[in-house]
Amino acid sequence: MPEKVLIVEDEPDTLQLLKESLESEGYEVVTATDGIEAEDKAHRENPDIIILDIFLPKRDGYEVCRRLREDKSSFGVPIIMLTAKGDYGSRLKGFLQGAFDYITKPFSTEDLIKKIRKLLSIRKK
Amino acid sequence: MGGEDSTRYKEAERKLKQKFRELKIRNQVREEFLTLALHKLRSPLTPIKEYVSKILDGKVGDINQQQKRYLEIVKRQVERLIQLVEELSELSTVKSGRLGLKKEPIALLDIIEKVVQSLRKEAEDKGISLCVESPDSQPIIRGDEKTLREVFTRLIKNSLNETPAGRGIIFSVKGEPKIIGQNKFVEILLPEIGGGLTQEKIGNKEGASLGLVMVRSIVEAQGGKVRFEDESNRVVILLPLVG
Repeated sequence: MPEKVLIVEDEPDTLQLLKESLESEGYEVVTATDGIEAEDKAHRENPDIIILDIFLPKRDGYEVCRRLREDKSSFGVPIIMLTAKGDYGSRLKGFLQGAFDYITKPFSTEDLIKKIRKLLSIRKK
Repeated sequence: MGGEDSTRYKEAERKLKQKFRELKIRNQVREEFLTLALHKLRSPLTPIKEYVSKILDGKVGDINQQQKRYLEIVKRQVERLIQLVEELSELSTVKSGRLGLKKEPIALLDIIEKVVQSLRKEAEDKGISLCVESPDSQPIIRGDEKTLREVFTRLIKNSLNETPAGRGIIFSVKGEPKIIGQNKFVEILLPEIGGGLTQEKIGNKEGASLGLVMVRSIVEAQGGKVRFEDESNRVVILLPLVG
């Protein structure tokens, strides 16, 4: 069964790019475009990993990350945050809220896929 | 102090504090705006760059030579935009003081030597020799090692891009300290950069390279100065000496 990735991104073109790139690598992809939908999908779809943008409508990525970490059902799901490069504060904040890793915008899908593979392989061990 | 003087003094103090609060809020608003603007600028760059790369790599079918040439131009220009956004972002971090710069004693020649060593291979590949003219004694400066290494790396890389093969790049550290007011500084003469570098270009004016504005901001944040020396046609960095 393919591994399931939840992508949370409100910018449609970036979301499309991520979806296509991950599907072409064989992942099953579910998407959300705001913070509340993200939490809902995280609980209903049981993804293996979550790619989470920070600037989101309704509830920002940090808050989503914190709430997912506090919930028993989503506690161990790795989260990769999409942050801004050079912004140490955002990265630190992301880690403090429980993110496993981050990738900086503008990012390369190749780097993101490497990070996903790495985190999923660690999780399987 | 009489009663009237004391009231006037308190009133002036109150106004000053209010002004300070207003300026602080204005700065915060400006910073938040810039952070948001940079984030919004970054987002569209990812799909543009990635989709252009996919087409160029032939992942969605064949393209002819002319299409390839045009897309390579688009890709190059997007990469330039990305670079600009990165530089603006770094600059805003430095300007806001969020870098949390340390002010520790540092052996200046050791940092310059490390940077030169890390870039020597790149210089050799381009047929350029890298050389540091240094005094016998080691100048000990006060600053943040990490960001200063970044400054020197950026400056040498700039020079490598602008120096033709077969020529050399000389970095000079002067032995004699420069005294300005009560403070002593060490002078570092940067490699001569082509393209008519002027005082204006190292200032914060239109036409200035963002990289150079960034260098100036980092140096000034550490109590140093950056100026242009007419006689040698070189940029001079002054860093505060310990003691």
